[in-house]
Parts: sequence; structure tokens; C-alpha cells
Amino acid sequence: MYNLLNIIGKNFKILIRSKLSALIILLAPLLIVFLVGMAFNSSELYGINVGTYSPSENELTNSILTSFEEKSFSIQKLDSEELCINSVKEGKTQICIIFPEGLSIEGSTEPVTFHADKSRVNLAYSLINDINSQISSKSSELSVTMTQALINVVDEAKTNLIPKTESISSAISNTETIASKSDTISSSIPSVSALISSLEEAKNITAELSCANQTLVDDLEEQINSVLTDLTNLEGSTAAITQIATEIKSKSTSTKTTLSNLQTGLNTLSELLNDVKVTEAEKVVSPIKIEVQSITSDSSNLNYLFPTLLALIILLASIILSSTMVLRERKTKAFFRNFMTPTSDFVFLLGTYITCLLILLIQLAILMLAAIFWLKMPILSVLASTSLILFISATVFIFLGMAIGYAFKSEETALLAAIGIAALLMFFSNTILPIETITEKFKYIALFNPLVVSNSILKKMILFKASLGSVLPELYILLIALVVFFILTFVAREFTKRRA
Amino acid sequence: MDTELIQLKEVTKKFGKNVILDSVNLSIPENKITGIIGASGEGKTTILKLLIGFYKPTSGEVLYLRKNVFKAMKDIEKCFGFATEDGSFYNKLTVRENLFYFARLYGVKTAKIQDAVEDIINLVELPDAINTLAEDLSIGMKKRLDLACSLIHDPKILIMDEPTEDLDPLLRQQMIELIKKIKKQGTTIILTTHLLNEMDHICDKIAILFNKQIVEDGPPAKIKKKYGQTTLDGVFKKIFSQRVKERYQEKRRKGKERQEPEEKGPFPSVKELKEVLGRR
Repeated sequence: MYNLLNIIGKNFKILIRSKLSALIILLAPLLIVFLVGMAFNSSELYGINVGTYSPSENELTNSILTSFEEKSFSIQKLDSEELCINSVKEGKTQICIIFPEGLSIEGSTEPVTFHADKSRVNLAYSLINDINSQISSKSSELSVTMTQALINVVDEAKTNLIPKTESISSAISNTETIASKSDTISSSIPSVSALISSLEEAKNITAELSCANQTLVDDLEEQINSVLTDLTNLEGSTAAITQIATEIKSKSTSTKTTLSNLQTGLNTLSELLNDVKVTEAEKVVSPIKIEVQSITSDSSNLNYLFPTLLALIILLASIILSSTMVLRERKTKAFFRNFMTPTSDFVFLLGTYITCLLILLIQLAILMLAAIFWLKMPILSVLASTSLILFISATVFIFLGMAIGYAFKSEETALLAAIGIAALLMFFSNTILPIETITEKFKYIALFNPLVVSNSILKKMILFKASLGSVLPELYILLIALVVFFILTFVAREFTKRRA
Repeated sequence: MDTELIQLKEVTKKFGKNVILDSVNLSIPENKITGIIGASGEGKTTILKLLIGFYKPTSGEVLYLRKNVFKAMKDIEKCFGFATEDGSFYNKLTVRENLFYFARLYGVKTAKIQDAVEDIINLVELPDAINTLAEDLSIGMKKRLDLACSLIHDPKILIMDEPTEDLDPLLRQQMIELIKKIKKQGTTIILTTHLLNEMDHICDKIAILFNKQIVEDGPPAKIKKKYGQTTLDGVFKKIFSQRVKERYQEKRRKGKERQEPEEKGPFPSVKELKEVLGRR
């Protein structure tokens, strides 16, 4: 223990006396927090240059471009499709949007085309998504206007249909009355033939009365004949009236049927129109509303980035610091005398590890304090469990760095190896590309990547306030990595002092 | 009769295919100063590192008190002090901090460290530089600091690799005096140098390393007498010319046996000399 403190004390004295090293140790984390805090404390995209080409500019294309400008995108109008695409290739713009000929509110058969540099994967998708949503929003706006007009027409039809239905009902009723009246006409017409036959009979009787007053009889007969003629005429007329009344009835019945059918149709239409509950155009345009709710309470990029930032700082600081420290110790002239002393190798190894750990803890403490008090990150509630994970992660990467330091002979190659391995760990993690984009086999390996594991635990703890118990499987992976790297370090150290 | 503290028995050391030492036999007596002399690159430092078990012999064995060094590592770590040619201490620590640091690593008891540091500082005559960073010391002072670091745990055996290298004549003389002083304290000293005449004055025994082998060892006076020389420099030159001649003649004889019709003079050409001397 005494020797351990002696070695740690010596390491710190050497470190502090190298003023630049001391400055880097203390200021590097602050600098990182400051820069990252300033750079990522927002959820917007900045400095995006959008190249556009539109064969015919109109109100619609201009309004779309205005909406981009409102998002702080810089618009560069280009003269041809080719120039627009080339501007992306040359990196002058991040995305090129080509509007089709005759894009208007009435619609266009040609789509709006995006040309993005997909080699900048994260930005390309983010940008496409952003611009797509801008155009979709504009498109929805237009749809809403047009649909609203349609809905208004339907509403008006609905309003006008009810009195029309009522009119038809009234017409049906009138038709029924006509039919009824024509029946009455038919029935009201007296039976003229019976009257004629009565008069014929009366005429026969008068013929028998010729003996009496012939003149009177003749007059009577004449009168009767006249009446008979009239009646015959009347009979003809009544027959015609009856026929007309019958025809009127028939026609009115037919009209009633037609009106009834029309009424049924209008009623059905009215019912259907009444069934149309949507009265807002927005509901027709987007019947299902989508709302993306963040599962975390904060929205700035820094909040999402903070666990990854911590994991990366631990990885890079640990691996580079420990490998450099081991190499520097090996290269110092005093290394030979250290070998000569009766102090065990394990104590030297532990001394280097604790020195690196203390330096890293100082850096992390500065980082955490800055995050809590300056960036107002809500990490106080999970500070204890997060600190434990930070400690374990730091230990894992320190041992990895020490193993590299012992495995290589020159400081340059060790540093190169340390950076190479750190880069490899970063490539097989979510840092550069989502882990989901990695092929299945490598993805399986990547899941055991200590950077992925520590990042995942830190994210769960800091963003979702997960308890230590809920991250136990990942914690076990980290502990296994710790043991593996410790053994690796010990073996590598044994090799360095091998008596050739 | 001298007690043989350390013995090298038929020790051969190779680094890859490169033979550094070939069947070296040497014994180091207790409480004496033994000097290993030889030209630069002859393998003097290799012998020293074999003595403390830093290197493992390719063949043969190194014994400390008749025990293989690798079985006596605990004793060796406690009983040996090693002053290196370049100085083995931390440049960013002061003289005091270096001494305290190594005293603790050597297991000097805490209560005794302060006294041990003061004693050793006085012995190596560095009291004025005690709080100076090692990197700010002069070459001579660095040599003395390294010596102090090697002696802080009061070792029985002190190994010194080129202790007078890079020193001016005055400092060299001071270092020789210091070595004598240390010897008086009963410490066995093994040192290497290629400055042969220094050995004359301080060594009780010398071993001459030439062409991967110890070609001569014994008290300096006896060796000088054997070769009819007044200085070790003269002895070394004689041995060198003798060995070169022998090897040249042997080589010529072998060449003649194979074919070698052409006639040559009595002295080797530069090319032949290089071949004879091997890697040098």
C-alpha cells in the first residue's frame, strides 16, 4: 500500500511538472463541455445550403422556398438541374431540390425530386426528412384548402336538399289530390244513358198519348228529342270527361310513383350526407394524426448526446492516457531501476492504473459538475449509479490502453494502435452510424463492444433514469470485459519484462 | 582465498542469431572491485545485466552465492545496486524525491529513509542539489545521483556500468575517489569501462572481454606482468593484436586448405580485419 501511494505520488508529480500535461488534464474536459455545450445545445440544423432548380417559378414554389428560409436554410437558386446536382457533389449545397414543370395547386404529375449526398448519411437523412416534412406540410396546407371547398359544397347541398325533399312531398300530396279529384269527377258524372233510356221510354209513352193533345205531345216529343239529342251529346262529353279523368288519374299515379322514387332517392342522399360527420378539411387530409412524442423530457441535441459524450471521453481519455503513461514509464531510464527493486510488478501495474483512474475521475468530475451547474443537465438523481458505471467503464478502457502500452515498443505505434482501436470501437457502435446498419454477424459482435455497452447503460440511466438492477446484463458484459482486459494487461506486462 | 560471490559458468548470450557472449567464465570475489574491460559493444553491459537476472543466458548459468540467479531473485533485488551508464532515475523529480522514491521501492524502512537519504547525499556530495530537478543537474551530478539511487538501500554488491563515461578528467578522478570510498564501506563493486588505465588504480581484479569471450582475468599487476606491459592499455593492445593475428592466420590457413593460391603479405587488409573482427 505504501509503495502504491509512492508510485501514484511519483506519477502525479511527473505529470504536474509537465505543465502542458497538467493543463490538458484539467482544461480538456472543461473545453470539451464548453464546445459541445455551445455546439449541440439545440435541436435544429444550421448552416444548411439548399440548392433549388425550378423550370417555372410560381407562387407555390416560392412559398415552399420561403418556408425553408424560415428554417434558417440558405437557398441557392440554380439555373439548371445539372448545376443543382453538381452543387451537392461539390459540397456547395447539402441538398438539391428540383421542382417539376408546372407545379401548381391543381397538382403535378411529376414529383418534386431531392438529390442528397448520402455519403453524409446522418445529415442526408435528417435533411431529407426535414425538407420532406416542409414540402409535405405545404402540400397538406393546399389539400386542406381544396378539401374545405369540397366540404363546403357538400354542406350546402345538405342544407338545400331538405326543403327540396319537402317540396317533393308536397307535390306527391298534390298528385294524390288530383287523382282523388279525378275519381270524384268520374263518379260525379250522372249516368246519362239511364236518362236517355228513361227519355226514350217517355217518348214511347208520348207516342201512345197522340190521341189526346197532339200538339202538346208533338211539342213534348220535340222537347224530348231535343233533350235526347242534348243528352246524347252530353253522354259523349261525359264519356270524354271520364276518359280524361281516368287519364289524369293514371298520369298522377305515375307522377306520384316518380315523385316517391325521387323522394326516396333524395332521402337516401340526405341520409348519406347527414352520415358524413367530417366537417373539417384537416380531418379529411390527415384522418390519422401523427404526433412523435419524445420518451425523454428534454429536446436539445446535447441531452441526447451527453451519455455518448461521456462514453467517448472515457474511451479516448482512458485508452490514450493509459497507453501513453505505460509507454512513457517503459521508456523512462528509471524503468530499469524499478525492475531492480523488490517491489512486485502488480504494484507497478496497480500504480499506473490508479493514476490513470484518478486523472480520469478528475476530468469526469469537472465534466459532471459543468453538466449539472452550467448545462443544467438533470443527472443529480442518477449521479451515484452513473458514477459507478463511469468508474467501471473507465477501468475497462484503462486496462485496454495499458495492454496496448505494454504490447507496443514505441510511443508512436502505441498511440497509433490506441487511436486505431478506439476508432474501431467507435465504428462498431452507434457513434458514427446506427448499430442497426451493421450486418447481422458484426452487429452481434458490436453488442459486446464495451463502448456500446457503457454508452447504452449511461443512456438508460441518464435519459430514462433506469435503475442499476435493470442494466445488470449489460453491467455483467462490462465486468467480463474488465477481467479480460486486466488479464491481457498483466500478460502483456509479463512479456515486456521477459528475459530474452 | 577470496569468496566467490558471483560466478558465470559457460555463459552464452544470443539476441536472435547475434552472439553477444560466447562461453564466458568469470568469478566475482566478495568485497573487491572487479572491472570488466573491453571495447565498446563487446558485451560488457550484457554481462552486468546477466548478473542481476535482467537477461536470461542462452546457455550456461549465472550463480549468486552458488545459487542460480533466477532462484535468488529476492536476494538479488535486495542485495544489488545498479548504477547505469545513462542514469536510471526520473528527470522530473528532484534529487530528494528520486532518493525517497527508490528508497521506498527498495523497502527501506520509513523511519530510516530520511537518515539514509542524508547519508547517501553526503557520500555522493550532492547536498546543495537536493531540491534540484534531476533534469537540471550536470552530467557529473547525474552520475552521482544515479550512484546514490543505487546505494540508497545499502546493497552488498554495487554494479557500475561505465561510471566514468562522459566525465572530464577532474570529475573522473572524483568518481574514482567515490568508488574507493564505497569500497571502504565493504561493498563489492563490479564495474565496466573502456578507459583501461582507470582500472589500474582501483580494481582488485579485472576481466578482459574480447571478441565475445573473457580472454584474461586476474589482478591487474599479474596480467600486466604476464604480457610484459606497464599499463592495461598496453595489455589490451597486445591482446588485441595477438588475437587478430591468430584469427587472421587461422582464416588464411582455412582458406589455403580450400584453394587460396594467391600470395599475401603478413598483415591483413581492412576488409579482412573487418571479417576477423566480425560484427564490429
